[in-house]
Amino acid sequence: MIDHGISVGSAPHIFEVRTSSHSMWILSACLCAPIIQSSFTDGFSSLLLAMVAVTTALAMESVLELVRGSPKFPQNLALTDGSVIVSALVLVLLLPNSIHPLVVVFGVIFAVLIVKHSFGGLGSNWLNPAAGAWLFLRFTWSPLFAGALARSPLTLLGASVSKGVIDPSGSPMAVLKIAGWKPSPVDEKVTMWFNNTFLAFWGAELPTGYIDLLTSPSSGLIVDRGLLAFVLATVVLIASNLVRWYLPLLFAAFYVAAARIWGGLPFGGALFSGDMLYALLSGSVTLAAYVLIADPGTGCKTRGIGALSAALAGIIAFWFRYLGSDPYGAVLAIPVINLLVSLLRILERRFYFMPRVRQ
Amino acid sequence: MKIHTFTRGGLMYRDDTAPQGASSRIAFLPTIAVLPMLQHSGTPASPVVFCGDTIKEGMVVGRSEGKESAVIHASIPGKVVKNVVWRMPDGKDSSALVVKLEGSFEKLGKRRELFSWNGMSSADLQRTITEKGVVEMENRGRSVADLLSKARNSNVKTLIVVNAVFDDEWLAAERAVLAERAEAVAEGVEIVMKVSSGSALVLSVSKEHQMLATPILDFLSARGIHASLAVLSSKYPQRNIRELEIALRSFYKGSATEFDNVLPFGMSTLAAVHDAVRFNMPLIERYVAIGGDVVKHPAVLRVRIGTRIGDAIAECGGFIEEPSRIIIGSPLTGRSVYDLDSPITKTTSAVVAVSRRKMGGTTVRACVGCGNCRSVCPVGLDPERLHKLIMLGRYEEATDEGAASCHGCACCAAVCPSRLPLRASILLSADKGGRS
Repeated sequence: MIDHGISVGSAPHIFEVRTSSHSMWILSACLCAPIIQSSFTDGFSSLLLAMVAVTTALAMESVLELVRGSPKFPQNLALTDGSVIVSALVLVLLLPNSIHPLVVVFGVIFAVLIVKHSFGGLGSNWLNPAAGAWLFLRFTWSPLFAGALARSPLTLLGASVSKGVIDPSGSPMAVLKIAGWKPSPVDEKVTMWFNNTFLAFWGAELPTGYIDLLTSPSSGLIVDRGLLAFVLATVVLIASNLVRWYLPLLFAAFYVAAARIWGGLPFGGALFSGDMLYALLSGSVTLAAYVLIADPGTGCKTRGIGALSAALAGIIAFWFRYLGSDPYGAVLAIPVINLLVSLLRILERRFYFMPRVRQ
Repeated sequence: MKIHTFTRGGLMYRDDTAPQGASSRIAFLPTIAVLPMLQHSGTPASPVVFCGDTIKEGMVVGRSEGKESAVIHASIPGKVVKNVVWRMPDGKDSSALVVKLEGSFEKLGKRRELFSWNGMSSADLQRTITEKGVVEMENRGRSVADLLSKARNSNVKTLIVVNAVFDDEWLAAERAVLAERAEAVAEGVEIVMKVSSGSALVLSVSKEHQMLATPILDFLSARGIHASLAVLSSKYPQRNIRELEIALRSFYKGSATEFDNVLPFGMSTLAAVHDAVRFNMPLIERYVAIGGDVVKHPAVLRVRIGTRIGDAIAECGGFIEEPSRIIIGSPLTGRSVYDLDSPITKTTSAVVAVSRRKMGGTTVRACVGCGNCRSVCPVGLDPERLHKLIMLGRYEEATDEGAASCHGCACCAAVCPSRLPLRASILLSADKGGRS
C-alpha cells in the first residue's frame, strides 16, 4: 500500500525553531508599530512612506527575480520570505517623517539592488541593506534630509551647543530648555505623576521632557517619533527569541556607560555627569541596538565575537554621536561594524572553529 | 551528585507527542510479516527458505554472510508467500520474505525454559549470541557478538557502558525496557562483561531516570560485579558515543579507572542478549515507541519483528488526521518511509507519524546567517560554512574544515530557520571528501 499523502525527506523531520520567513513576518509586525504611532501625529505621512517603501521593495525584488529567471509568485521564495519588507520598514524607520516619498523610492532601490542583491541576496550581503541605503540617502540628499529634520529637537540641540549654549549639569535636556524647547503638557502631567508615585518612593525626581522622547510629536526620524511603540515591540522581539538578548544589552551598556562618563562634557558638564536616559531614548539608538546590531545576516555568529562586536558598536556609536557631534551616530556605527564583521568572522574561524577541527 | 555532560553545543529536545515509556503493551500478532535480510550493518543475510516453504516461529530464515552480518529468524509461524526486493528506509535494497501467519507458535504462550549459562565459556556465549541474531537494537545494528569479540581480543582497555541516557523523548521504548525488564538487562550486562572481558563497567543514566537504575545496580552488586553510576545530562546528543565518552571521561577524571574506548549497549540490546542466552530465544520481538501528533493513542508496543508499521499504528488507534511524514527512529535522525507496509526491523526503536504542522515547515530558503547551527554543534564545526562549501562543490575544503568529524546528530539542521539540509550535505561531503 502506498499512501501518496506521505512525503519523504532527509532528517531532521521536525524542527526546533520557527522558519526564517515566519520570523521576518513577526519582525515586520514589530517594525510597523512605531510607524503607526508616528502616523497618529503626522497626518499619516509615516504610514504613506512605509507603504511606498514596501511597494517599491516588492516591485524591485520582483524585477530582480524576473531578470534572474526565478519562478513567479507565489512559487518565488524571495518574495514570500519577508526579508525585503523588513529592509524597507527598517529604512522607513530611519527616515524623517516629512521626507519626500521619492527619496524613499531611491533609498529602497539602493537597498535592494545595490546592497542586498549585488552580493548575492539574502544572507550574502555584508552590509545591512537599510543601513547602507540610509547612508546613501543621507549623503546624497543631504539638504533634503537636513531640511526634513530642521525642526527636530536633536537639530536644535546641535545648533544650540554650537552657539555655545551649555548647562553646568551636562544635561542635553537642560540645554534644550535653555534654547527654548518646551515639553508638551502630556509630558508634564505624566512626569509629575511619576514623580509623585514611583519616584517619590526613592526620593528621586525626573525632569520634564523625557516622556516626550517616547511620544514625540516633533519632526524627527520615524522610529524616534514612535519610540513608545518600538520599546513595547522590543519585548516581543526578545520574548520570541528573534533577537539574541545579549547583543542589544551589550550595545546599550557600552554606549550608555560611555555616555555617562564623557557624555556631559559637550553640554558643559563634568566627567560622569552624562545623561544616560537621553542618550538611550534619542538618536534612533533603540533601533540600532535591537534591529541593526542584532541583524544575524550581517553580524557575527559566535556568542563571544558577537558580544565583542556589539560592545564595539556601542563605543563607536558614542564616539560618532558625542565626539563627532552626529545626533544619529548610533545608526552610523552600524555600517562601520558591518565593515569589521568580515575581519571578526576570520577571528571566529581562527579561534572558535579551526582549533576544534584540529582537535 | 554531579551531572556530567559534553562541553559544547547540544540542545534540549523534548516532544510531548512521544509515548511516556513507563510501560508497554503486547501488540496483536501480525497476519503478514515482512522479514528483510538486511536488518543490521554489514552484508545482508542469505535466505535459507523460499516461496511456498512453511516456517516455524524462531526458525532461521536468513543465514549470516560474512563478519558483520547477522542471522534472521522467523518472527511468526506461517508460509513464505513471496520473496521480494524491499527498499529499506536507508535507500538500500534488500531481499525480504513475506510470511503469512499460519500454524502454531513454538514459543509464544509457552513457559520459557531457563538455561544456566554460568558454566559456559566466553566463546560459547558469543556463539549463542551470534546464533540468536542479536544486534545493537539502535543505530546501524552492528553485530553484538562481533563487538564483544573485538573488545575481548583488542589490547586496549574497553569501558562497557550500560547506556540508560535518554536525551530524546523517542527513546521511550528503551525507557520501557528499563522500567519493565531491569533484571533481564542486568543479567544481560553480566553476560556482556563475561564475553567482552571489559576492563570496567559503568551505568550511565540521565538525571531524570536515576531511580530506574537502582535494580540493575542492586542485581550486579549481589553478583559481585562492580559498576559505577554516572549521572549524565539529558541534553541531546548525550547518548551519542562521542558525547558519552566526553561525559564519562569527565566522570572518571581523577579516579584510578582508565579506559581507551567505550562500548555502550542500550537496554533493548542487553535484554536481547539475556533472552538469547537465558531463554535460548532468538531476536524476534522488540519494544517500539509508536506516536506522533497524528497517532490517536501513542504507546510503547512489544511487536514481532517484521510487523508492518501500518499494523503497529492501527494498534495505537490509527491516525487522527492524514500524516505528512512517517519516520522510523527519532525525528531528529531517523529515516522517512513512504509506505505503511515497511516492516519493523531489529533496529526500529520508534515509529513517528507527524503532520505538516508538527514538522514546522520544510521549504528550503536562503541562509540568513543566524549562526544557530554553530551554537548547537557538539563537535564545534561551522555547519553554515561547510554547507556553502559543499554547495560550491568544494568537498575537499569542507573535509579540511572538519566535515568528516560530523557524526550526524542533526542539531544544526534542527535549529536552522531556513531549513537547510545541513546534516545531509555535511555527511555527503564527508563521504565525497573522504573518497577524493
